[in-house]
Amino acid sequence: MRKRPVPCIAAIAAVIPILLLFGSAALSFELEQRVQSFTLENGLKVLIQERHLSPTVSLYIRHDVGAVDEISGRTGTAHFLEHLLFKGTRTIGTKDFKAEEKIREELIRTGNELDREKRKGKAADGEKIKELARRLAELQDRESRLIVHNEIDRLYTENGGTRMNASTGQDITSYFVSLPSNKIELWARIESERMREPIFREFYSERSVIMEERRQMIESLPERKLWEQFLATAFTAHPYRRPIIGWPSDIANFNYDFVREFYRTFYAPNNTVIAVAGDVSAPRVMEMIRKYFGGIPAQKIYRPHITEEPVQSGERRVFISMKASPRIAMGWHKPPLPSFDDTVFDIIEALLSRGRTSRFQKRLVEGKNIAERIDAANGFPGSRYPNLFVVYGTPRGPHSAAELEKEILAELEKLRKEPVAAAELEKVKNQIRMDYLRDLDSNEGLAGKLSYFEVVAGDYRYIKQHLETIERITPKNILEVANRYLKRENRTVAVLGGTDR
Amino acid sequence: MKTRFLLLISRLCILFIFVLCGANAGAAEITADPGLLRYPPLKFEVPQTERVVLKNGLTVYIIQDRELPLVRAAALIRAGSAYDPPGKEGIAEIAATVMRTGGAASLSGDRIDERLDYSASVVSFTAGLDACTGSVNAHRDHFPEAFALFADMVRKPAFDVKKLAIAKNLKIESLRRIKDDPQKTAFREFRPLIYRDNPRGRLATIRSVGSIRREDLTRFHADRFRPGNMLVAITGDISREEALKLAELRFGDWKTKPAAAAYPDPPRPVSHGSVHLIEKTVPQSTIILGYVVPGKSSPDFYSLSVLDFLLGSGGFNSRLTGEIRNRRGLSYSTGSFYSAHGNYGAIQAYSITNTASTAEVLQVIRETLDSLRKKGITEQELSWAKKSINNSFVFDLETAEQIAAEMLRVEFYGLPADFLSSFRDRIEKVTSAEVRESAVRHLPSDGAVVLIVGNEDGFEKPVAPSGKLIRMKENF
Repeated sequence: MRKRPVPCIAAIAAVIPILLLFGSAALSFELEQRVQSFTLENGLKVLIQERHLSPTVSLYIRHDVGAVDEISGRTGTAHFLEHLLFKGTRTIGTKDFKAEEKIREELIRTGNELDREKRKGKAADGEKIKELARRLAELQDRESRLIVHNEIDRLYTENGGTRMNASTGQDITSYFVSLPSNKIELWARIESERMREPIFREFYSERSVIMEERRQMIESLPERKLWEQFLATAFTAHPYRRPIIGWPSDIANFNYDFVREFYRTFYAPNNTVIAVAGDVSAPRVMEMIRKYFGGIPAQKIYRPHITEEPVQSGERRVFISMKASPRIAMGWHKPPLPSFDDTVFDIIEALLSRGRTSRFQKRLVEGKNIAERIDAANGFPGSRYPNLFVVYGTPRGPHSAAELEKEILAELEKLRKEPVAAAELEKVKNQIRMDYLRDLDSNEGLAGKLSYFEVVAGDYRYIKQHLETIERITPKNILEVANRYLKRENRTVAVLGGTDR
Repeated sequence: MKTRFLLLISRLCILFIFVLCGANAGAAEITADPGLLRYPPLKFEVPQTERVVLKNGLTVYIIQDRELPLVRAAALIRAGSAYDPPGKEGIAEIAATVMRTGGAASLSGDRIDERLDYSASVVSFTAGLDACTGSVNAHRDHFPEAFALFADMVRKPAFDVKKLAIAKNLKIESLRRIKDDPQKTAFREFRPLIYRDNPRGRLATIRSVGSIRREDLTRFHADRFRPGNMLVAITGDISREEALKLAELRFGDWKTKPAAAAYPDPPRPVSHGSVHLIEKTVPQSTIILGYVVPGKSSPDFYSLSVLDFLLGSGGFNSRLTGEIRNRRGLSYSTGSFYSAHGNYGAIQAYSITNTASTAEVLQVIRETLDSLRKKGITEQELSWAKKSINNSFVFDLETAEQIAAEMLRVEFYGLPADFLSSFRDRIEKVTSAEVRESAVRHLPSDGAVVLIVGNEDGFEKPVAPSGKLIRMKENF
């Protein structure tokens, strides 16, 4: 088989300045100089980086909790909780808090009763369901009249907040917003209160919104449906097998008290990291965070045992029937960060699918022209627990998913047999070094990255450690890792649509 | 009154406790109502940029930002899909792709890829409706090389036939796959419905892309890619002199005949509304209702921006999101957006809802617009919209790259030079009467074009009077 042409000497020489100026040591040294890190008495961790380019600031709050922490029958709780946190607090979002609370008590009682009756299935009392539904609607209406709708959103929006959002992952739940930098106190005021005492208003209509979200983001999209089934097959025991949004019947049965309990267990300051990047003074921000968040009591986090995934003992396959063009997903189990092997997979990911000269793009998408796209990704569907290295591809008609699978496997076989050429490895390392620089280029990217690694790796300085590990990786390491993990008995394949069976 | 009094008391208590603690003496109290927080003033002026016109008519903007060793270039070229010849829709897009992949000057596409990837530089071209956007993103040490390659692609693309064939194949496959995604299908198919026979209303199809040949690309390139049709910005860790020297070196001797092809007329508003349906077996309906409206060069741009904000782009408190998502729980994604180009634009309201709520949600959208026309907006809504739009303006100009992109757009669309610096004032001057007038004039009840992609059997009631529903197929 043909080897890739080795880039000319000039190109190699041209890249040296990056190494000299932005080798990992220089880069990370700079990062530690720039980031200021504090921990409040209650365990809240704060990372601040001043950047005075524009009068803006990006703010991240990340809680060390995600879908993996849910128990069976309650999948989707972490995500639903995240939605409910936009409903306000005791002082935000209400016209008369006491009156509202009283109605809510009855509303939840009615809702619980209705859910219980519905769960009886065929044995359910139709009349009773009708009556309960009528009463629930009436109570919702009364609650609604006492609510100031979407006040958190209004406050942020009118003060220039942008990109305000939240996300729930398998490992982590995040709340973020960017504000004009003079408005940072608004963020502290809102977020400290919603961390301490959120009020779950409009519980049942939000539950319906999640149902719509599921229909829109999963049921209607072949790619997402494929991933859901893929994960349910690749993992047999670990919670990574479950969809973050939840299984439909769990969503239909979200229960107020269970969500409350989940919130109480995990939303503690000692389970939280804040990152601030932008046009601020670090001491002043620190003082403000202490003032607003300092009084939230620390608590003992009881994390239930999370089932470990047993070693896979043979290839697994699943086919999803759907009228759509074919798609294929493949995955291999592997250890999580900060293991050395995980970092080697970052290199493998880039070799396979990063840029126009990557192996998949050059050989399969363009060379053989049999795929519309092929992507590789390391660390799916989460980073914290043993996870997967995955490949996703869409064959170009008339080529089938089976043909594409064969070609993808042939490319992986090359990784197991032939050492990667020095120049190709260097190219990939250059790309990863540049990623680092580009990530620093926005307040949002920076705050996001610092807080993410502080939570999942336990220390934002993992970023530096990662770059250093990248430097050390040799062609032999890649060969070993490819042979250790990218083998048949460790693989799961999911195919959707087309005519493949 | 009563609650205020209570709040005051609780505030005093907090203050008292802090004082007792001693250690926290002087710590300010926590404001009970976050709406009453006071903030220091924000210092923000639209940043100054340097603008230079080369002898051949090419305009270059320069902004220095030395925080990180990165340099970027951006270009706008009058070569969007609005210039696709009829029957050859997709040319602008394929040309953009093959300029990048198909080699330039004396280098093959593969050699260029190797050089750029090795230094982790990124060069790309994307075709929009009106403009082709080019960009370069590189480490400062590699920027000169990447910029030189970029200039070669713009000036002397080779349009290698093999790379053209690949680009066409991939585009055709991605067209085939659009029908798997109801939302993408809906927004794509909506464009011809509102822009109609205007060039912006034509879609690339499997057939039109299939018919594109190399000489089509070379002709398109010769017509469209000229110094007078192009604006460039260079930003980042580079001095003014260096940037200018590079621009002069790579583009200074670029000479072509003066631009020939005329700027296409803006799309006209639709005079009679209609309701269209694309049948699809999916659990949800995607509903879009839209209008052709004026763009950024119109005095109505500001009142339309406020109108769109309150209708559906202003987050949870906009009318559509508040009613459909929040109060009724019928949708996860709903709202509106105003895509304002130079002398035209479109306002589109949308909602993705479960099949059985399709007619209800369409009705809510219609009623919301009705109420905007009949009752207008409240003063409270007006001031909230103004505050929100103006306070977030700083985020349109957050980085050197964004500032450059905005400057390029202003000039590209022929807007006045003070467009950005006067923006907040113009928004501030909008009155509620103007918003209502804009709603009446530009979003008339009989002019709404509606498209639903969904499963008609499951609709709870008809979405249009009998005989008025236009069933259509996707264009592929």
